[in-house]
Amino acid sequence: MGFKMFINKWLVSDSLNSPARKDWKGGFCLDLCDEPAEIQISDLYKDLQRLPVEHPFAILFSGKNSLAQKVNDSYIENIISLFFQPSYFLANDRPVVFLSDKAAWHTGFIEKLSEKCRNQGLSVLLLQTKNGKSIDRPGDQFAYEVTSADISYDAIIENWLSQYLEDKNPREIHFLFGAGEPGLTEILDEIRKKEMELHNTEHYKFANLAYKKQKLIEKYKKELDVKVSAEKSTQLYLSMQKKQTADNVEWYHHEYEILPTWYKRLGHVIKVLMGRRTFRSLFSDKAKKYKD
Amino acid sequence: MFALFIHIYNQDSWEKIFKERLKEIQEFSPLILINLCLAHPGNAELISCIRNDFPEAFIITTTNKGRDIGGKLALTDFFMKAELQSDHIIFLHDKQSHHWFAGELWRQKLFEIIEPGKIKAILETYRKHPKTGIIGASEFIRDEHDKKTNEFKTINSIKIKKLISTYDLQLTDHHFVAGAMFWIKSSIIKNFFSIHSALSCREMLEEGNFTDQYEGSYTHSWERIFCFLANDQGYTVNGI
Repeated sequence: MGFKMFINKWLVSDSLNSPARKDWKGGFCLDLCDEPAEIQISDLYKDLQRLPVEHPFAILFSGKNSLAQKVNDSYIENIISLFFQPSYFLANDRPVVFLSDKAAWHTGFIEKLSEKCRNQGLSVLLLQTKNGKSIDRPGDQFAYEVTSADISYDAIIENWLSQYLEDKNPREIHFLFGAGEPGLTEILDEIRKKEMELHNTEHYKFANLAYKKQKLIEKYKKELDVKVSAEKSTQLYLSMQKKQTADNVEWYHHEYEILPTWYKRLGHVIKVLMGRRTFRSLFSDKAKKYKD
Repeated sequence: MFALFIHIYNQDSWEKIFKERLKEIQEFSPLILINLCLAHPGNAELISCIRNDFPEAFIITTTNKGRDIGGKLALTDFFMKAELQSDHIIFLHDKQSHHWFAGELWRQKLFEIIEPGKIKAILETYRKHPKTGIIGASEFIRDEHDKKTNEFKTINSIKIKKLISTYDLQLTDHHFVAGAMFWIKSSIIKNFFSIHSALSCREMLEEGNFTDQYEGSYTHSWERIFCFLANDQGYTVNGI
């Protein structure tokens, strides 16, 4: 799930216990560069449970080690289990996965991951990472790997807006910061200043408004889907109940209604004798019929 | 110690069905694992509510696949991967059974297995009879198997037989707990799912809301298979 914002900043580290996380306010992105055995997977799941849902979590395949060797069900299922964690970042119910240039080449792994996700009813959203110099190039959306404060916010927002106006339904904007990046504190300070300026620009205000509108529409669509599904189920259950009622009436007809009247009347007298019905009710509809 | 595997589909089920019941059994310090369905918006608020009442609860959110069985398999996957420990597991879900007039009554009876008095009796049964594998509400213990034809008297028969064959289950008894709410020895779950991963089992389940009224489903077949795992490993299915 994870809380979504128009601009999301991610701290990238190969460990959840990175010291840089202490004062970090944004999302946490786990760089899965290690071999599976090197990650204490059981501890990871337990630690992720303690992350507040408002602090989103995601993964990055940086491709430092070969992903080709990881095309096995067990490794991929370990990844999918991460998507089920409540703090995992989902864009319109799709788990977001960051891919570095190198990792994106491992098509076998990516295809297998996508297929296994589909089998779990999930559609994964893969976002390739680009370095900061690519940001002024309009085109498909990706995540930005930030290594300096040299970010062109204007170009990024304009790019987002143009996609929005072209009905391309652009997603959130993501910035990835390496936890071990030299001078990270200074870079972040610089970026914060730029953001303050950005927030006062008209095109940012418009883009942010458009983004919020987009999220609201998605929320309503989801609520509508739930209601449509509930309505469909109700109709199905209603038809099943109707059938059950019809079956019961038929059963009653064959088991009881078909009997001769004198036999049914005798049955009522037997009920009185057994104490299941009041004597007075045999002669008056107003009398109490059944004994408690 | 026991663990509760709870699948919640409807957003209001936490307040309506589970919250108070779980508070009543806090003296047993159960491990609580909850699966929420991703289909509903507002899970973040629900997670906050659950964590407010039960800070130690483990929560996952999954797609609407395999209904409660898919949720239980996803919880099993988490339980195994996080290497959590418990002697027994109780499977529960927010059963609605809208198609049946007695749906609400069914649920109440199925939930009797987590009444404090019954919990003590169940733990005692496990202690006295080590071969007890599964315990559920007596009136929900069913056997649909026809020994003569080796068919199951249910629309799910073909799929049940396919799953028995796929997992090579050696069965001498075919009793199961209808409604899929019961106690099970954790070792049964661990033994089976360490060979067949819970997520790979979940893959074949159907998506969305469906019933087995007109067509058999793997999801409803798995309702039986869960109980057959006990017999395959030499344990019994008992009622309380």
